[in-house]
Amino acid sequence: MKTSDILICISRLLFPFILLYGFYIIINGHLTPGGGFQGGAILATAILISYFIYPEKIRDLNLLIKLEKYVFMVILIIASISLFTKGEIFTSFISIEKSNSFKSLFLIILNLFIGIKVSTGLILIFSTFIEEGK
Amino acid sequence: MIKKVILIVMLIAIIFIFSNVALKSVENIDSDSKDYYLTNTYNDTGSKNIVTGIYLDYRLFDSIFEASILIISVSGIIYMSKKDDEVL
Amino acid sequence: MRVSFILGFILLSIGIYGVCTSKNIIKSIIFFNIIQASIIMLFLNFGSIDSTNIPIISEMSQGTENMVDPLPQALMITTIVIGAAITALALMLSIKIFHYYGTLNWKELIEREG
Repeated sequence: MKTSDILICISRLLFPFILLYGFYIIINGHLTPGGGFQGGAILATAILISYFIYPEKIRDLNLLIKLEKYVFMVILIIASISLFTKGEIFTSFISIEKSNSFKSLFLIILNLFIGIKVSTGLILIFSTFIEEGK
Repeated sequence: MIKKVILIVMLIAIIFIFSNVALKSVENIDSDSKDYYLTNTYNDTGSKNIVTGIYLDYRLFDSIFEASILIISVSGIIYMSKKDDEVL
Repeated sequence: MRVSFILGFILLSIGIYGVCTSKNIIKSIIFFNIIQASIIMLFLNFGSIDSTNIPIISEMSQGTENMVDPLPQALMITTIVIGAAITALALMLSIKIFHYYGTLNWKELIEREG
């Protein structure tokens, strides 16, 4: 598949801005509309642009599979810390008497990991379909 | 031909009955959970976006198993893609 | 009289009609996605019957009494991701069926299978 030079040039120029916008949506997920799932989809589109730029390059997907498994384990561990601090499983591990800005630390951490996990999942789905069609 | 006519009649009946039920049920809506979430979410979880407060603190069980559904479907896709024509 | 309820049910019946009468596997997957979109639209409309503001507390929002119900929105955001995963799995299965049997027609597949 031959892509035009204008599309390749604009994609190279646009790639860091899409990446920055995805991280902005993930980290501000508790103040503005957005969150882990939406920002993860934007991150996946930013990384899938490289299929436009280098269509012939062979990519190794095993690293992404390992990354997704370990990030899912980290999400499970973070969510079950509250069993030791509060006595309930799968809630926030910060006590309810703390200030509101300190309690949003849990939301930022969990949004970040969920965003990374969703983006690696969508990249794996699209890459598998592209490899199947070659 | 007769099957499609019966199907279209059934679907028109579905539109009519369902929209009647929906328009009548508008008058008696219970808003207890809505009031609870709107007044207590910011003080409980520290999140100004109430939707994020619900799916990351009150209903974190849902979100975690939804992420596990995503990883299971990805592993199924990769398994079916690697074996050539031997899955079925 | 809310028009959006009736539009949602019309979309639902279009999806059921397409699932019942389509002859191709890819078209069946597309019509399942249409049914999912109609159900998401109906849930969001039931949550916002008597209120219009977004459920975000900020300086610009006047109080919490005119906000929509946040629970259907939090449920639908998980439904969208699950729908994407199910659609990808169904498309990969249809690719495998086409490589194995050489066709994507429902009737030819049933005859081929016996």
